Amino acid sequence: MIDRTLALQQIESIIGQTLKQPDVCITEQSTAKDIKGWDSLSHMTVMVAIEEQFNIKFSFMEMINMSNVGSMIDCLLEKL
Amino acid sequence: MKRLLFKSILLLAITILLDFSIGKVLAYMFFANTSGAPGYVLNHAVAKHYDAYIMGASGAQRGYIPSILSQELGMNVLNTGEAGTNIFHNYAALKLILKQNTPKLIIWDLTDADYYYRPDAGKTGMITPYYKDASIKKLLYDMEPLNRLWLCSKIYPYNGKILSIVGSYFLKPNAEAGGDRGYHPILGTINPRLRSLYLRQFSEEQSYVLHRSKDDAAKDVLIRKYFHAFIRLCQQNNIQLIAFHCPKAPLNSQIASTPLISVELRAQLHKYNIPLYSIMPSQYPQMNELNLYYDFSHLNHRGAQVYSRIVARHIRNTSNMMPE
Amino acid sequence: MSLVSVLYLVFLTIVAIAYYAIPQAWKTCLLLIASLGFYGINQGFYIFILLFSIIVNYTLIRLWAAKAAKPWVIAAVLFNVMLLGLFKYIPAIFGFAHNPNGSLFQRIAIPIGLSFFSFQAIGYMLDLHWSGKKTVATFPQYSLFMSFFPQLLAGPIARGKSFIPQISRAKSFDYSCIVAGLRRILWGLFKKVVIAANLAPYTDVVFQNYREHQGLTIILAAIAYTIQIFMDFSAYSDIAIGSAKVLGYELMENFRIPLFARSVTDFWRRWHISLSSWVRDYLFMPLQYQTRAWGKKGMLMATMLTFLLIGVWHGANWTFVVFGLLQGFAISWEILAVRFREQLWKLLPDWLSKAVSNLTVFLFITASAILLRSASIGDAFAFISRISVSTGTVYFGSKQLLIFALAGMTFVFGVDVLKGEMLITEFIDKQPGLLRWSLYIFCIIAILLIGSLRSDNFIYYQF
Repeated sequence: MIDRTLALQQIESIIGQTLKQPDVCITEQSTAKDIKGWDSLSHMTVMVAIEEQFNIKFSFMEMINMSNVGSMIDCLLEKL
Repeated sequence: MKRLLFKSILLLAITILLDFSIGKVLAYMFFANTSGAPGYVLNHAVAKHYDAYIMGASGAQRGYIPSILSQELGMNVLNTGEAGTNIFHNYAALKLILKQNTPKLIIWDLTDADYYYRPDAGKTGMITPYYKDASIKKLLYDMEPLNRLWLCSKIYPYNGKILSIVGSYFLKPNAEAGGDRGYHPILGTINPRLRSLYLRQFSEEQSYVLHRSKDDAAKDVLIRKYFHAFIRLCQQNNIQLIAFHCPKAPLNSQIASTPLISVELRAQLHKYNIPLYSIMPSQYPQMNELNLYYDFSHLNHRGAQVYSRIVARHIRNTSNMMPE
Repeated sequence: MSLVSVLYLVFLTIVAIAYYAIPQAWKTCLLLIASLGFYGINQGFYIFILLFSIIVNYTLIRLWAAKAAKPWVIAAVLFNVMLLGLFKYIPAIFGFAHNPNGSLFQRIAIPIGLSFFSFQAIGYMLDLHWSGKKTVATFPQYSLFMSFFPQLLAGPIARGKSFIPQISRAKSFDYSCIVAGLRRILWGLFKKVVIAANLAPYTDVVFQNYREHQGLTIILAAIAYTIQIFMDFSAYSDIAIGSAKVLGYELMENFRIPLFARSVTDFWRRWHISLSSWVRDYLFMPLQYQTRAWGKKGMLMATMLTFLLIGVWHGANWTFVVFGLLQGFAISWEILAVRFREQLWKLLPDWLSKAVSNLTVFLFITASAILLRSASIGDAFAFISRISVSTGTVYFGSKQLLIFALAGMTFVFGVDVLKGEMLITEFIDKQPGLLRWSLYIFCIIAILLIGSLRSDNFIYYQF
């Protein structure tokens, strides 16, 4: 079982890798806007990487209703 | 609410003050230029007396040489033609001239644009500085009802002219700026490669008077009001009015023989007993040479010399026929 | 009534005074009447198309709310696409050239604003469906969202999510809000009248008779045209956003210094944002979701389709298709060559790489804007091929007008450099009072002294 802190850590490292921002710092309140390189073009790459890491699938509606990393973790934990 | 109102009024007051002062300076500089340069020819017309005036748009400005006409007719002639204008400009010019001088003769370079609205004719820039004159104010209001608002501004009459006004004030226009009493020669001859373009221009100019949209027809009414007013103004002051239609580059025999003056416009002139001379290259072999033309609708300097002599001859003949 | 006309300013003033004089409960009603009246004055009987669109769209939303079913969403999208097709595309595709005196089909013109409010309707429906929530706007709220007069004719394309909640928010007279709005309107008028309108006669002449002009003139006119459309459209947006602000509404920003963009991707995040973000959210994201398993290939396909839509949104002409595809190719290249480009720019000093990338984007946009202006693909190519002609003299038209436009441009770009990403109203707010007032007075005097206020430019409603 994964808890929120662990999920956040893993997400941080995935984002760091996919966006080539090794020292990125992510909190539950972070949104795509706050993170350098996370734009509409890289968004799907980040999401697919997260899906693969946790071996889950987000629906389109879930994906667009995520307002920040916190709500992404909510959604993610529900699926595990 | 009070704060907004107070600040708006304060802003308005400062703007009006500034507008007024800049307007005063511009007016002073504008009216100081009596050289007769393009854009300032009315200043010259108002300052000096002439016996006869050439009136019209760019066709007049480029085609009628006052020195030739003066010599042939034995009277003082000024060319008041301005590019991009129509009957509004003629009317305004005559009104201003009549304030101090009654000319004997007006040589009118007539085009369809004096009777039909054309978006590229009807420039008012040369007239607006004279907005204080009652009849010109009326004309400006007729042309653009919003001028009632714009002319509250004292700088608006000089809209778009600041560089030329300030430039010509400080760099004193040279002796040639006024051209030959308002005539400005153009050198160079027509480019035959643009033939197809000119042929299109000819057929467009021919057809645009025939197909008037509702909007155009509404605008024609205003143009015609001043067309009639201009003619009546001449008649009331016993000014002889003779209309000419400048030749177009004779690219083919049809252009050489077809004047771009509508039937209705000709009928109007006939009604007023105004003689109209269409100098068609088909009837005037000396005009039937392409190297007398600068482009489709303008003569070059050589063309103007030949043409002005023809014009002078017709004026002499017409005047001889008229009872003294 | 153009947004750049005395009549509009009078209209806005009257609406604003009435708006703050009446009780909150009536405010929406007043804006609705004003908006429909505004459309009626502009478009006459075409107001029935707007009303029809509002009623059908709202009925579909209600049906959807009663029973959340996908068919209603599909029906709503199809309805709006059909409405666009009927007025904007079918007449053009089947060659019914617009002719006010012609047959019934030829008399159909595109109702101004159709492309904007139809996109708003689609966006709102999809937002509702995707949010999974059933809180639907009331009919008056929805009608105002669709017809709000500052944005009705040419955007910014509003989003229901941000617009509808604003309607019920109490709005009382707020000095700073109104001043910010008026400031924005003045800035827009300055850009339109001093820059765009002074460039228009020049670009008109050269684009219409490009066969007579030589290479340098062609290049100059193309650059002038890029500046002109930017100034014209951003001025329009400024006036729309400013007018809304006077009435206490916030609209989406439409431009963020786009001519300073360093890549085409960046440019489209700064240019006509309300459209580019619309296609991003409602076309690009769903497409990307569907094709995410295909990796980069999916992304490139989604990009191409998205920009094809942006192109075609402009109208039914192959020039717009090519315009869209060009943007798509440029952005695809930027996606594929991201590493290569990064390394390339590292070879140059920072300031130089910025300048070069900025200039490259500007030239690319200038070249593609020729397509927006040309009547056909053939025309666009013929125009571009004239660049190689070196005989003949450079044509400047009225040099005075070009100098006025250049002076205005220098001023606006100067302010843009100083303010950076900041909004113009915020930037002005930060200046000392004396400078602020000088700016206002400078703009007013410049409009009167060097602006193109001549009737044909300024007053569309006359005659």
